[in-house]
Amino acid sequence: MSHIVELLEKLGSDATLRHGSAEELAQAVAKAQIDAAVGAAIIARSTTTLHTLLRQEPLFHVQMAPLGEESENYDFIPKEGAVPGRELK
Amino acid sequence: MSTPPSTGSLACVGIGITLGSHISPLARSYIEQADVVFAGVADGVVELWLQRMHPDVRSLQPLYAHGKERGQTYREMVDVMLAEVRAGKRVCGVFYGHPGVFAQAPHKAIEQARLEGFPARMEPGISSEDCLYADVGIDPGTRGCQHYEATQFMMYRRNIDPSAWLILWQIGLAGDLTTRRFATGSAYREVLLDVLARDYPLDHEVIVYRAAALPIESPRIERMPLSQLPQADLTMSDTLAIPPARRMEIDQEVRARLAQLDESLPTV
Repeated sequence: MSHIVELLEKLGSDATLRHGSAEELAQAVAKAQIDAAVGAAIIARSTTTLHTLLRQEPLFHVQMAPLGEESENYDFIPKEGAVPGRELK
Repeated sequence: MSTPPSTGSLACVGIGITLGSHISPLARSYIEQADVVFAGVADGVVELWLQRMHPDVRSLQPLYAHGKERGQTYREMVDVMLAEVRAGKRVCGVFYGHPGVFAQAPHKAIEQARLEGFPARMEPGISSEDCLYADVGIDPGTRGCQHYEATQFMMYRRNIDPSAWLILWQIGLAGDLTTRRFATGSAYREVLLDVLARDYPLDHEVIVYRAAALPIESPRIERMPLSQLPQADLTMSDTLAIPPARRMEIDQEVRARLAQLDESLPTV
């Protein structure tokens, strides 16, 4: 599993690979020594197959509920000095 | 390098949208130096990635549930993070995108930690909005850009400016007043269509946008007439971008005043 995540991180952070050709992607997969089916899913750019093989899925990630005037945060506008928290060291 | 002893602190960091592409060196450092990491991210694979950076990553995902009010979920997110801060831990809350954009729990957690005297700060991340500008080729400076949460936009009469861009976030949940659903459907978007039709012609071209979460993906950039919005296949990750529909209106009075100033003041 760690090789797969390592490869995905590389694909995300390497300027050649992020928007590279299918050939460049296949070469990176071949070097990564990962399961053939996972490699094929990556080369096919199939998120659905990759999720299935890794037993993962998109997560519910909405971080905000619509705020109405009844919400406790509705009128919150931060003011300078209003929250005197210390800075992290 | 040694890490200083823990006294209880909170950092909420953004790791951007695309795995591997957007995380900042500072966000990674907060993650690696934390005692405990809480993860509010958009994909299970991203959680696996975080687990490579830290041995104690706790997903916030179990706090969501169908039928559960999301406000309660966000309060619980604050509670679990603050409990560890109070226990003297260096806590890092990791959120997809930017932790302060369309995100209630990070703001609230930082506010609460500071009220209790703990050091707390937010580190920005690359948001979906940033990706939108890059992928679609929008510069908000050219015509202006308005952003609303889709349901709130429907709940109130807003004075929108159709000569600027209008971006509606969380469009897949548009109209959910209960905040207990994970999606709404075409009937809700019919209502939204009626709201938008006050200012836009039905044949006006709009864009459904979704940034790439994994580096094997491409962004979704799907153009359609506004009238097709109710039938569009939308998820919680989609955003509606509405291009300007009118020319900007010239304010002759202000222009005249500015010209008068130019004439009366010495040239720099």
